[in-house]
Parts: sequence; C-alpha cells; structure tokens
Amino acid sequence: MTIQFKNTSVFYHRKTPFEYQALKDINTTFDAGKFYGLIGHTGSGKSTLIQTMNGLLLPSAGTVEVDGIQLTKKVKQKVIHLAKMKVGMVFQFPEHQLFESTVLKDVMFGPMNMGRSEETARKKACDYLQLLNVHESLLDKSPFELSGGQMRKVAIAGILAMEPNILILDEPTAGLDPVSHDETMQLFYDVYKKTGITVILITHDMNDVLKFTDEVKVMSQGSLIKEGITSEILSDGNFMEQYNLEIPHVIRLVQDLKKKGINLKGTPKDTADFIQLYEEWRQSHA
Amino acid sequence: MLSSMLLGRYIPGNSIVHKLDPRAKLISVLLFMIIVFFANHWVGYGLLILFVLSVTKLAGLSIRFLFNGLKLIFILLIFTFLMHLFLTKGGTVLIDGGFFTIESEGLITGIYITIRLVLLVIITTLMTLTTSPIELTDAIEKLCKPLKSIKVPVHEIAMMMSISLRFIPTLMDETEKIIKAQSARGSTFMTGSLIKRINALVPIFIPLFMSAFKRAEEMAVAMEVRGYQGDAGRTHYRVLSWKNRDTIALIVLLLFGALLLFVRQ
Repeated sequence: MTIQFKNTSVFYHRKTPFEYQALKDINTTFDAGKFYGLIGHTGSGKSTLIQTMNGLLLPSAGTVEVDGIQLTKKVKQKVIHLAKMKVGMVFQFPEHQLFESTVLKDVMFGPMNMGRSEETARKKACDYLQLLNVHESLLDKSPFELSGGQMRKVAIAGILAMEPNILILDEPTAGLDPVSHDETMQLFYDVYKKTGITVILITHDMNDVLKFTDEVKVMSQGSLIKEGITSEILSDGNFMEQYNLEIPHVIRLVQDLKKKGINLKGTPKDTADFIQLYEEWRQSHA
Repeated sequence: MLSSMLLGRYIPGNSIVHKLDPRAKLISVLLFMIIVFFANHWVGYGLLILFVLSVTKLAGLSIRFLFNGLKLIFILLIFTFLMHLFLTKGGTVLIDGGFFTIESEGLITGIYITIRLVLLVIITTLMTLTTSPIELTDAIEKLCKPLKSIKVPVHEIAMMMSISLRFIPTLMDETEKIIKAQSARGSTFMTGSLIKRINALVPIFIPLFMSAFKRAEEMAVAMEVRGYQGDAGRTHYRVLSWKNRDTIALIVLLLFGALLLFVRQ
C-alpha cells in the first residue's frame, strides 16, 4: 500500500488575490507497512500533503498514486471514493465529526459507507470500540453525552472500523491530557503492530515522533526538505535548530551526557530505552 | 468552492474606496440601489455597468475575482432570467415552441433584470469587501441612532450583526473541515439520488450546529466575564470621522443619479 508523489503541486485560491502555493513539486514515496512521521512548522504544508493522499484535495499539477490509484487534477469522483476507502484519516479534534444518535451508529457510519452489510459494520464497530476501551454500556448513548476524551475515542473507533490500509493521523492527541495522550498513541501503535498497515503521523511532539516512527519527512514552506531514518534526523542538532524543531528529550539527554564523557551506544527511542542503554554503559564501565 | 465565497468577507487594502467613511459607503450603497432603478434602456444600463466597473477598479479589485466569488448566486440569476424570458410577453415573437413562446420584450426584460441583480450584488459585495465588519456595524449604529428615541435597541442589533458577520468565514471554514472529515469516512455528497444527497447533509449539519451553539455559549460567557452589559456608558475605540472626500463621493453619486434620470426614456 504505497503512496507515491510525482511532481505534486497544490495551489489554493487560484487566480485570486489570495493565491498561494501550498505544495511545491513534491516527489516522495511512503512505503507499505512503515510508521512515518511528518513534521514541520505550522503552515509548512503537512495538512495539505495528507489531504492529497485520499483525494480531499486534488493536486493542481503532478500525480499522487495511492496503492495503484492515480489521483490527478481531473480524476473522477468514483476513483476518489476508492482512494478514500483505502485511507483512514483522523483529523485534529476528530470528536467534531460525531453526528449520529448513538455511539454505535456513529462508528458504523464509515463501514456502511464502504458498502459493508449492517451486520458486519456492527461487528466491526463493537470490536474497535472494545479495543479503545469504550464501555459497552455507552453503545446506545448519544455521543454528545460523553466526556471529551470518550468522544475522541468513539470518533477514532469510527475511523479504525473502516479498517483502512493507510492510517493518517493529523495531531490526534491535540488537547488531550498526558495520560490519554500516552494511551491514544500506544493504541495507534498497537493497531499498527497488529495489522501491519502504513501509518503517517503529523505531530509537533518530537518525543512521539522518536518513540513511534520509523522514518520522518520534514516539510518547510510547501517543500519536502528532508527525509530519512527518524533517529538520525532528530539527532541532527543543527538541522533541527535551523527549522525550529525541538530535539526530543532523551536525545538531548544523550547529547549532554556525551559532552560529559558518557558515550551511550545507539539512540534511545524513549525513557525506558534510555535507562537500558545507560545501564549497559554502567555495566561496561564497572 | 466554499473558500471562494465572498459574502461577508473583508479584504484589507489602502484604496480610496477602503478609506471612505463607512457611513458614506453605506449611504452610497442605499442610494445606488435606488439609482439602479432609474435606468430603463441600454444607455442607462451601460452607464451603470461603467460606474460599477470604475468603482471596482478604484477599490483595487479585479473583476474576474469578483465574478468568481459570485458563482454561488449564478443559479438565482439564471432562474430570474429564464422566468422573465418565458413569462414576460410583448413585442415580436422570437421563438414559438408550441406550448411556450419567447417574445422580444421577455428577452430584453430578462437581460435588464439580470444586469440589475448582478450590479446590486457586486456593489454590496464591494462594500463588504472594502469595509471591515466592525466599521460597517459602527456605521449602522451611528446612522440608526435617531431610532433609539423610539426604543429600538440599536446598539444590540448592531452588536448582533457584527457578531454574525464576524462568524460567517469561521462557520465556512468549519463547514469545510466537517465536510472533509465526513467525506474521508466515505460520505458522498456529489453522487446518488436527490434523497441520498439530502441525507448526506445530516452528518454535516449536526456537528456544525453543535459547534455553533457551543461557540455562542462560550462567546456569551467571555463577553460577560469582561463586563459587557450592552450600550449604557460604552465608548468607542474607533471614532468615525466624516471627511471632505466622503461628501464628494456622495455628490458624485447624486450627480450620476441625475445623469441617469436625464438619459431615461
């Protein structure tokens, strides 16, 4: 399930005083089965880039190929629909998209749109609601009666229940408390490990990028400026500083220790990783 | 499509039209609405078109941009045109299609009325494009002040107007976001039968209403917290000042109206 960009450009408000190029000649590939991070400053074109992946926005020039489906300027609605069925998208504040009378029906909305039978849709909905720890007693409640955190879980279940081949997460944890944040991210990671789908994560939280993603693509002013292995890019202090990106805590810690003469082997992905590397270093210097 | 919507949008600028006093602009637009009806044959309409084009130029906006933004009302225009084309009788019969006839009078009225509508929409759009909503409501409040003596809540009405104008673009953006989220879930708005398409609007309107109500409530609280209690004792940060150019603009418009009366047949 690869996504391939070929000379893709997107203009907004073409032929008006507001005209502005949001994507500039993007050439890149998202390989199947990897967890990608997409980082860059606000307005760098990340959101535009992901919206071209399922035909919400069509490229003004060039093509986007999603799992063999060509998306160009003049593609038919039917083809776009096919692309949408392959790509699941969790937007910022997904709870704003809830509308049905009950939680269960809302989660079934996506699978039903894909042409699944009611029975299958119900089963999928129940499965994913359970996976997200939404209690069974809530299934017949109105989604608007739930708390903010639960609403978000229901909305996320609504997208996972479509069982997309590619899952795109646009700041899925914005506005969540730290505990829910960790839970939600871990959950996406578990789904990723279990199903082997491609995941693309947009976030400003570099700690999450380091912990979960295999590769990152960095955007600035509508262009893709760097792509590669996550730990390598995030450890490049000069680069990160140049583009005003925050270096993850554990990497900064490793770099500071290095200055003090403590050389850890490898780059840790999170705190637990760091502790282990540190223990190894201690033992080898005992 | 939604992003090209010009209704209620303001484009900051530095043109002479931008700088006019909002009261002058408001009065001018009202006057222009009357003047439009003075024209009754092609010379008059030609002059009107010329006038609107020059105002557009003065405002530093391109005609094409305006037209793109007016696309949404094209259905209304076409409908009006067709109604006149088929229903107004008189003059020579141009096409006799059996159960219907198209007569010259109908064609001409159709064209004139459509031009009239387009001009009215353009001139009002020009006003909102060149006047910030705040200026506009300030102007309305000032102009309607005399009504206060007969207990019309002028300030409250102006405040409601400015809030609604302010939120048109916000709601538009919000609608676009929700449409995107639902269509990413496979909702289709462009295909299927009419009933299917109408049903497809439910997933858009419910979240939209939810957020609009929530926003309204939050806004009311935010206003109260900052001590808003209506008109009494309220001063203005921006003070409107009537300048010579405003008087001149009105005079020009009146002269133009007289000219139209003069060429009227």
